[in-house]
Amino acid sequence: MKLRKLFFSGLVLFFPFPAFTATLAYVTNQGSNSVSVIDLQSNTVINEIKVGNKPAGVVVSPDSNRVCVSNPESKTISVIDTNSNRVIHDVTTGDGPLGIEISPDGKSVYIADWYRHTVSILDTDKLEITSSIRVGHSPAGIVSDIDGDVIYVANRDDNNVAIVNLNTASIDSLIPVGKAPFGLALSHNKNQLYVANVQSSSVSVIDLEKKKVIRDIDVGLFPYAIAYVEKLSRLFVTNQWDNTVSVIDLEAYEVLETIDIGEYPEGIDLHPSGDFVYVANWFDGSIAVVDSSSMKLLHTIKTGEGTRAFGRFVLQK
Amino acid sequence: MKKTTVCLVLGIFLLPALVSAHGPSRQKVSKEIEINASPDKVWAIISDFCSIKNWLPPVTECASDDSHEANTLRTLTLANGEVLIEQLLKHKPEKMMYQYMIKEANVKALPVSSYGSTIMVQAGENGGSVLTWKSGFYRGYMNNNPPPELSDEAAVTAVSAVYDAGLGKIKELAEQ
Repeated sequence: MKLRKLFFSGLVLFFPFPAFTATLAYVTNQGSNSVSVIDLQSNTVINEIKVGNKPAGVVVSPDSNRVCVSNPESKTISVIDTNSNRVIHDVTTGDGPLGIEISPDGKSVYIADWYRHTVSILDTDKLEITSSIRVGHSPAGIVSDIDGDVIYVANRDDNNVAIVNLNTASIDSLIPVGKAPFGLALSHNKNQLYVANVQSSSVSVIDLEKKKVIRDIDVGLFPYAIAYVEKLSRLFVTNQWDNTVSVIDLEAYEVLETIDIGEYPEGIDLHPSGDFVYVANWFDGSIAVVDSSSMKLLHTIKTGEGTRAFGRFVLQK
Repeated sequence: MKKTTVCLVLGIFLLPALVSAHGPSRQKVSKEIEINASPDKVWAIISDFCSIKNWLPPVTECASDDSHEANTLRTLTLANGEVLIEQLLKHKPEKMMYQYMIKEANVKALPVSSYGSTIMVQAGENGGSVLTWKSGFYRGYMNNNPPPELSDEAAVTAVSAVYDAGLGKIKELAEQ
């Protein structure tokens, strides 16, 4: 008992703080066939990694050791080791890999296939596609629930969101939303899913218990992707054709602020602290840093050509 | 006979179910030209949504209701007889810019899809202007493995040629 106590106090002495040394962003540059690695303490690009052709989607693994990137043109997934910042695997998949998500245990990567209308499942041990599930037409954004039993998929050409039961590998329900749904974000504590409807320029709020849309909120032109900042109860939505980000207050379900950001804002993710939101400006080839409390643009970091970064691209090590 | 039936049935399944998707990666074109004329003069030439018939050579006719409200449509008839309908998204005289999109793709008029464009005038050096015309779009072919005339490259080449022709003509008109 004493020994154990000693052991634990020793640990506490040794590791008085969580051992995070860096917060990094891995953003896909569709025109340069690369991923830029950005140090989010100094807001500078520290590396550029060549990946497959026209990389679009991105997701970080739960342990932060891997980043997976979808390459629609080479029809592959590039797996990056974040310790060496090298591509360690290229996995062939389907016809049009785009949206990408990873299971909470890190064992399965879900890949939306824009042309096959499926979600492929990549086994991260075997490094091959082990199965695929038919969803709807031109699936785009995917998010996993925190238990790993369900994924939500935006079927862009069906104007709905599929709730996919992973245990039965089948669609549990289809929820009609606005026109051309693309990016998704999930709030576990509110049990809500948020959907960017590109062609209706709105965000749908889905109540996951009722399995239906409870609000539609008008945003800017052609919204693409959404970040949910839990501690502020806010959504940040990129509006591709307005060069803005809409900030939605989830208490009032109203747009609080519209931030001028850069040209063709697309992918969006947040700092683990929730203090900052990062936005990929596709036309400019840059990442904009926004203070999520003050809703002000703080910095713009030059990246590569056609920065898209569709998915979760921020990690902490 | 049986073989034909099987092929036909298979053929139906292989057809793309919907054609509203688009190519895998968006393309962009951004062109600018310096003009030895004031921004006001250049803006006066381009500000009307249907002025395009005066400064883009392949456009022979333009019809619209002359409003500059969002969602106003213009119907362009090209020299080859093809028709293209475009929709105004924003018209901001105070910023000397407007933004519009192609309402429904017509690859015989322009081999693109999901095309959105902005044209704007800014102050240049010595009282002159800089005119910028830019866009983001997908190739004309909405599925995988496009024929060459509907590829990414074909789309960029076609849009670039349109912009060069238009900007050149506006410069000529403004500097007269």
